[in-house]
Amino acid sequence: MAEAQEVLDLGAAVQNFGGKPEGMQRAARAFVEAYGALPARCEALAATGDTPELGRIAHLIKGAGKLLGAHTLSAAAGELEDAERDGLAAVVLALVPLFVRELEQALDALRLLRPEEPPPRAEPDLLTALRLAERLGPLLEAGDYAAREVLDLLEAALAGSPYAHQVNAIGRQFDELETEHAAALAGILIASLRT
Amino acid sequence: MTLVEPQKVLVADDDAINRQVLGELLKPEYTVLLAKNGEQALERAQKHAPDLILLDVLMPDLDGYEVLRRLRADPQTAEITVIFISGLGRPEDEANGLKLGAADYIAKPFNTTVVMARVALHLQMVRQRRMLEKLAHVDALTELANRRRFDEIYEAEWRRARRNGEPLSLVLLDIDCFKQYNDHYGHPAGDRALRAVARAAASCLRRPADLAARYGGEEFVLLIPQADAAQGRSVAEAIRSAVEQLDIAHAASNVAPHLTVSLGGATLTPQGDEGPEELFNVVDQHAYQAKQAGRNCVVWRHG
Repeated sequence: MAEAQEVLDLGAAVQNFGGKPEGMQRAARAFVEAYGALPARCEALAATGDTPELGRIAHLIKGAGKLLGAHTLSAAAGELEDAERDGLAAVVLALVPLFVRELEQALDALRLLRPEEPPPRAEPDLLTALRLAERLGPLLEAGDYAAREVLDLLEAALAGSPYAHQVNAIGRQFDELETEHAAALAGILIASLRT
Repeated sequence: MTLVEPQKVLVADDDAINRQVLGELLKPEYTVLLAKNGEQALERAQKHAPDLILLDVLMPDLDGYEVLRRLRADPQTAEITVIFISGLGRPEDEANGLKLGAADYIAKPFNTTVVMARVALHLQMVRQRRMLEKLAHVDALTELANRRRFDEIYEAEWRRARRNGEPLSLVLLDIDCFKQYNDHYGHPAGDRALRAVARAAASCLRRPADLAARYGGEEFVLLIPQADAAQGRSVAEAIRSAVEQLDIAHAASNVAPHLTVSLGGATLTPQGDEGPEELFNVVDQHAYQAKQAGRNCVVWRHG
């Protein structure tokens, strides 16, 4: 497995996230979760000749890969996307192996960048956590990105406690913008903290 | 001190990584709302009225072009500035986006510094446009809506009342013996009196749709949608009383030793071919009757 910095331009990636490594690490996790199964899927699509879908996938990876510092992956995705837009199906299929290889390498490197868990607290700060959780609901429902910061504080307040996994689940729903579900989970967390 | 609320930017992109990058980038300066598809973008635009939308072109349900078309078709969202942010980076893509009415086009993968600079520039233009709109709609002396704004809102409220079969109350207010006031105390004092009356009138309007406007000179007009005659008259009477309680000395008045106002009002549920000017004419006549009746009173049309 390649070291992360051999595949990714980490400096540029962190810069893209406002200089915050934790933001980049969170995005790396989201990338792995969203696109981890794509290499196999691309090979299957190539086998059936579904070039429009390959073009759509390449379009997604081109932008996200660049933001995470995966420049060669982004370039490979760009080439594939362009070929598909130009209707060059044979070229698209010929580019798939390179694209898949670059994607696999980037995924391996990004898996190494998982964010560190906050250190467990001796005692979870339940009062602070409750106040934070109560602020969350409206932010989650509105899709307000300020919810991300509140979630980080909440994660720190409840680190190592039985509630930590609930905060993670809310965060994942929010990152996917399943905002109603995220708000419902926040409601459950508030009820648990109150008891 | 008035705290200026940060401007709102809606980021509509189906890619979580892009949303996160843009969220981190814009968060220190703006309130950032996120949407992952076209439907969510339209819903958030209607509900939260963002100042600017960064709109991805390729999204799985509604594409960005269709979202922009729908935004422009809805009066509530038609004026929102939209910047396309798209992986379709060919010149014809950019030209197409701009032809549809986008303010700008940013190609993905984007450079974060360029995104910030363009967002800041367009939001500055939004602020300037709002300021100009405000200046065009506000009477500089009293800071109430001006006549032009009143005409626009009155027309819209008239249509709404007719559509919904709801009553619309209108009041015309005239400051009694204002010429004598100006002659006696001078124009600067007259301006202060106009501002005081404007504040008193506006303070008696309670609901968001109620509107107080300076109609011209010492005349003010008050539009009170969804108010029946009793409610409308009660507001008019409250204004008359509020002005009296200001107790602004008026030694040249032949009505009272203080500043007073005369008000004419009427309520109508618009229907058929009636136009807004008919109600206005009735109110104007009743304001005249209030003057004829000795001033410092409200005359309301019966029936």
